[in-house]
Amino acid sequence: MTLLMRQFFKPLHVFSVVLLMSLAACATTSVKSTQFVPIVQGDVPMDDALLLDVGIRVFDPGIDEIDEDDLDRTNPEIRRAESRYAPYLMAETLQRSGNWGVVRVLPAPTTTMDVYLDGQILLSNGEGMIIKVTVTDSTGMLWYTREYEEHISQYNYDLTQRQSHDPFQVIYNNIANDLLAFRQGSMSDDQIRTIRTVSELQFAANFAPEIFGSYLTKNQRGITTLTRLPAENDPALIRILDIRERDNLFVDTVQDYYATYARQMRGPYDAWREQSFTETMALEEAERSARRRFITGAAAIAGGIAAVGQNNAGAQMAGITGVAAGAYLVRSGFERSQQAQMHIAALSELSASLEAEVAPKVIELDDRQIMLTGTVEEQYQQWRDILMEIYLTETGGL
Amino acid sequence: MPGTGAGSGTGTDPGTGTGGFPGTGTGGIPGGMPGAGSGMPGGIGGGVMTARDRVAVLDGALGRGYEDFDGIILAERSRAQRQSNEVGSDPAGLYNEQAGAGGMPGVEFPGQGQGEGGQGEQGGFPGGVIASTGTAGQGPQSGGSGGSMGGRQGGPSAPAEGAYPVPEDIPGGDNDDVVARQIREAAMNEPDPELRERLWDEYRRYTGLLQ
Repeated sequence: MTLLMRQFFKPLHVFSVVLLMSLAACATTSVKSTQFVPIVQGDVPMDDALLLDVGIRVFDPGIDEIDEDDLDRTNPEIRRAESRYAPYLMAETLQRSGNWGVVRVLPAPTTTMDVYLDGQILLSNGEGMIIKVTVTDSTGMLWYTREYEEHISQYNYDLTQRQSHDPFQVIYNNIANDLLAFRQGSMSDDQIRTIRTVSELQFAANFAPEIFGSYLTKNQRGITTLTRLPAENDPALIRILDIRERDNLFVDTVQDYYATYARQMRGPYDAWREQSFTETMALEEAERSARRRFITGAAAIAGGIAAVGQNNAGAQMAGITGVAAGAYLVRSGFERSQQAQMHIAALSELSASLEAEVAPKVIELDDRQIMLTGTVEEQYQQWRDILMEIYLTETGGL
Repeated sequence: MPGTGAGSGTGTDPGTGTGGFPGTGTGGIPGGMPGAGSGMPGGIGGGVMTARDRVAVLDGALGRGYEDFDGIILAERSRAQRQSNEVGSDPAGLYNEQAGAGGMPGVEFPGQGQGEGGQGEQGGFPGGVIASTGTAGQGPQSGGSGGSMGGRQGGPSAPAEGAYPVPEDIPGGDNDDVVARQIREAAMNEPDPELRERLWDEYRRYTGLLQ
């Protein structure tokens, strides 16, 4: 009897082990953020010279980084819209922290600031967001590159939550807090002063390289250092600072465009994210369930076949039952896969709807920037000519 | 470069400098980009002007360019603000029910309360608004830098008494919104009478006085 029982249960035991291992392998730990991470406010330097201005470039939408498997659930146009929306929220967050000078979304890669924050969106589906952030300063020094990942719950879409902050506000707060921690922990006051001086002279050198180009030098590693300093009362420097004030106004004007764009996008984008959240969760559950059923079904079939091969009639019967149960599981796994496809189709439909709404706004935003940039560039060129003429006159070149 | 033309120099020799840009602008920026002035006066090699005189004249041209630039930026920001007002804080109507004026999520504007220790309630205006950090007659007339997101210093919210009188047809600014107040303050403090009048015109247009 004991031997019989042992023989009968042997394949089932193996099956159980396989089943347990399979389930363990499939287990997904989905940690939902429930704690709101606030923005840390550092000790604000009293000296204005120690406040670093931060420039945030339009994010890389990360379209080239999308896995082939995720292509059917990612809309490139929405990513492009996000690549302009997220930097604005990032800038707002940093500005609100009070830890920095001015924080602006930069209209052009050539705009000069003290610190630059570049971002790449690696995931954004309403349920999760991953942003890769790289921070550098005007000297060309790399501060760090980090990935930030946040997964949220339905609670983040509650009206009361959305009214107070973006559903993914925590990711922006984390980025802001890390930036502050780096500045506080790794940058001395002297380094900060140098960065600010370099960015000032970079603007001057970019604007009038013949006049200011010799104040800076770049080494082989791409790090810019000060060669010499102009006199504080250097009239050419005073003129260039006046021009920089105007350039700041131009950049501020572009912020107005972004502010309007963000307000236009916010409602439909939030609605999309909330619906996308539901569909993404359902899709992931369907895929998980399908995968689980395929694996357990296959294990049951394999175990059943092994049992059928036994000499014992009871074991054979159990094996036949196991094969049938496995087949059922596999079939239901296919059904779950079809459900997953339906969710993917729903996501695609939702995305198409949002794309139709936001894509024209992205174009409008870009167009306004290009037009204003072109206009100010014309003026800048004229000022460059005048500056050069003044310089040549003052230095006896004319 | 569009609009290269003969300057109308004031020196002794006919100027050959680059003239002003035509007022057509590029792609609809209001007013286009007018020239910085009247070309380089005196021309190159005019033997009458000293180097110092020449630099002074060129500085004047630069200054006129600044004024034009400031005017263009001011007009553009007014336009952007008008568009922002048209869009409203919550164009989709998802948040007005409880949020009142709405605004961007996670962005608390002055007077709307604070969440987690934000700064900026001292000055900065909400996005899309000019903050006045400039001193009259010094910085760019359209408000100084760093306004859109609160700015480093923010701007005073109470109307300041200007250095120049307010035209008679301009009513009190009690009902002005932030942009109108900024234009008003810029006009009241603008020493250049021509630019000051343009600012008042902009104020009239913005506040609907011309309708």
